[in-house]
Amino acid sequence: MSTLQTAFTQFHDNIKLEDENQTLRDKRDILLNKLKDEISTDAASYTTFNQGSYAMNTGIKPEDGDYDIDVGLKFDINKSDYTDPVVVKKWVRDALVGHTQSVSIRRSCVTVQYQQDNEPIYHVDFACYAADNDDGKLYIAKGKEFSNADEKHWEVSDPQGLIQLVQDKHSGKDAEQFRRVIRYVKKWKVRKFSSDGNGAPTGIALTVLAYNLFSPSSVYDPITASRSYNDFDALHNLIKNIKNKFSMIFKDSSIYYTISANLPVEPYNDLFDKMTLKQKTTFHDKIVAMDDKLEEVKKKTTLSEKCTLLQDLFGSDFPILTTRSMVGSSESA
Amino acid sequence: MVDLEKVIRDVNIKQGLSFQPSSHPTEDGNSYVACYSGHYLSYGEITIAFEASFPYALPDIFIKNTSKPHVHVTPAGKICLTDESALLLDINRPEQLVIDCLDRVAQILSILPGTDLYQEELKKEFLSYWGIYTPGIIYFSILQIPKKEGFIQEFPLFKYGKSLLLANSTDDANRYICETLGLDSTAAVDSPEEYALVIGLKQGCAFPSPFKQHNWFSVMHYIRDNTDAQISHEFFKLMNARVKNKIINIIFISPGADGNILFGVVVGFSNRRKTPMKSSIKTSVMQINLLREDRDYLLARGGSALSLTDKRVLLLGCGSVGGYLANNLCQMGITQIDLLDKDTFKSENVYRHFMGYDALRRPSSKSKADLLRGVLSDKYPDVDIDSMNYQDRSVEAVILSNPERLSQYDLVISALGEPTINLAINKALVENNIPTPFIVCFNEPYGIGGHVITTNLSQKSCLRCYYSDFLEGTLRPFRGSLVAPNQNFKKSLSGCSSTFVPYSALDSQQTAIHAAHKAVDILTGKLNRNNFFTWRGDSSLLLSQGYEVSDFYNSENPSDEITNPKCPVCQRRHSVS
Repeated sequence: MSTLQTAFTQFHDNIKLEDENQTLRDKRDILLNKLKDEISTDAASYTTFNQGSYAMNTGIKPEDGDYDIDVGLKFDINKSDYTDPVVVKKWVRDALVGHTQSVSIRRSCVTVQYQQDNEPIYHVDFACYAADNDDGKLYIAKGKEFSNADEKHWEVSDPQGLIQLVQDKHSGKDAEQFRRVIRYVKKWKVRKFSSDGNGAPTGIALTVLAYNLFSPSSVYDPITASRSYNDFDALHNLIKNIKNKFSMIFKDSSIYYTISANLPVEPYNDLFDKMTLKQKTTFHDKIVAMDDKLEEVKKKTTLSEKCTLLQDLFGSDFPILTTRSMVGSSESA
Repeated sequence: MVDLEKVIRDVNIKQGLSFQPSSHPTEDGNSYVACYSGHYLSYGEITIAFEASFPYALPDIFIKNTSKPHVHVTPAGKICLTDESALLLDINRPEQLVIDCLDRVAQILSILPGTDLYQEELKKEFLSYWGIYTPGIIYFSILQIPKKEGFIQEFPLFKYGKSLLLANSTDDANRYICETLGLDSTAAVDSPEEYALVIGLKQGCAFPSPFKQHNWFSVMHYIRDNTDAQISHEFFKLMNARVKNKIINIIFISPGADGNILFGVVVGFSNRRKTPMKSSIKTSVMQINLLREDRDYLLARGGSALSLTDKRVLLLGCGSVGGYLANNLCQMGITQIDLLDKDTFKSENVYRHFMGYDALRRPSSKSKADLLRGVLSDKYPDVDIDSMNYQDRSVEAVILSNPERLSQYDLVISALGEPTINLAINKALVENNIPTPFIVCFNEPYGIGGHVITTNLSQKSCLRCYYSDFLEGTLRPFRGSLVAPNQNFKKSLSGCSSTFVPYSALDSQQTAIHAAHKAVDILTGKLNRNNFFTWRGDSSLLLSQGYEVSDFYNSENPSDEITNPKCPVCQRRHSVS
């Protein structure tokens, strides 16, 4: 039996980054072992944790095959003892350098690019934190090696708090739908914005929008005593809510749309503040187009027509299914 | 074996009595192993008679002096204590059983004639007393009693062995004698032997005392007092007829909440010259007992609802479930049934079908519907079954090509086990606004259970609701299935030309019983909204075959009507209403 929900389920299977992706785990562990063995004796001790979409179970497979793993390194240091946070990042960079073709210090992390012949590309981002501060909070090391001094600083951060919040927002099957819908929106973003990601909302920004604006959609069947989840409705409702979240502003005699969403944990920054007004307006227009498309899907009567339209939004990972003319039966008399 | 001597000794001591061994109280009392007599309270001598089965059965108790007309006492003085089948006896206290019986004796004997309690008890037991003084006069009756209150009408009496048979007509009498009883044609009757005047008494009529030797005048008084004025008038008009020697039979029908009660008198006139019957003096009156064999009585005796005999039911499918179900319907008093089935009955059907090899031996058609019609008509001669002997007996040809036909029935039941056809019937009912209730019943494999779906009683749902995806309304497997989806249960022992789903006759009977209950509930007006019923069997056989049960197997039956807002068949009706 094929339904639109079956199509969404298959789509989800096609795009989701497995929670327990062994290959990714292995790559991460190789690097963590290397770090442990090679890190300078001057370096402070540390503990590690997973962060990012991989940890939140909202990751999708990258279209370019460049898998992304986010690892947090909590160093037992007081940030006031390390006025230059890049020192800490260098411990990590220096320990791992030479292991792969590319290890570099980036603004918020140390990135290890990892590739072997005929294998997918991976990069592991190590975010470095000072964990033993006077105020008990966690601070992330910001800044590149040759940045200006004012760009090198410690910034309060709560990556594990964020993971916890997203995890606790919904429970059970509702939570599964929540994570599925986040993945749908992320996939849409990848399809609809240029591949370099410039001008696109970040994954975390979309996740936080969903955190604020998603509500689960399902119906209870009293016979089967089970809930049927309606991902289409849940997605459509979220998109409509995001659309309504925009506000219109006039600037230089043009109409723009703006949107904001604060990180629900420290430092509570607006996750859209790096986007220009024009980029936000483009984001708005694409959301409106998506809403229109979903409206159109609703009006189609056959499953294959609906799937075809959804493929426009999500690409070929979205399957085109046909309603079968026969279903199984266990009846006899 | 209980020591009866000791039992009686204990009773004597506890109750201050002095029962002594005695002879049998009756001529035919040979079945008693011991009897004890003694004086009991103010009732004179009574006898306690034990059968070998005591204490598993109560003793019989007789009263010697039967001059007083007691209720619950036979002419031989046997006191009807109670209906033992409704009692659980404490066999470890035999003396107490006797004491309790004696208490009951005191209770019964203390009911005196003329009291309200006496009348009430008499009414309960009337038929067991009527005719006790004229035990030989027993008529049989297959009379279909007119369904009206207060009437007076003549009906024929036919020679029937050494007795008489009261019937509506000669045909009815012969059908009973030859078909129902299967007697040979020499027993058939040509014309009535006599006639009986059948009088329908008024509601709340009294019963004449069975302990009295009635005379012609008390009979006429009884009729005057217990019929409506017009009936009484008509009766006395008839009694103006002048007769010399004549015998007339008068049968009374007393309407009661639990059905009619029939009793009668035979009156003999032996006038010296022709005299109006009503003023005849030389008369004799004897009580007539009637043994009822009529359908209404037998159905009521079988616990069925009399109101169902005028209902017409279409049963689709005469297979395993349909066969048992057809029998159930007949036994419940649903006697007008059309059977539709295009299959033939084969030996491979025998072990899970209501009909066995004897049906196969019938020389007639091998059609399941024809054979079932034959078997049921033999069992229940009063039923009116049509096996819809069309050239093409498919539901498609007979029903779906002309759905209006469905409106002729009070109920349509499908025991086809074919969801495709069932859904087509459902659609035809909904789209043509045919209000006939529709029951669909079927088994699931390996004894896991079965379902009875009742639809078209209320408008909120229909059969398609069970087969529509809850989100999108597209066709899906049965929502209430007890087995997990996407499993194939068809088995074949001899190639794919004879595949079958494994289930047993017990499963079919279970499903058929529940379906019959719903049918009765619908036809009696008790069930008036759509309903979904599932019975669950043991899952071990199914699981042992490597199959899986559904979540619903482990859930409870839903109490509310099963609807589906996405149902493509009835949602239009929802939006209109």
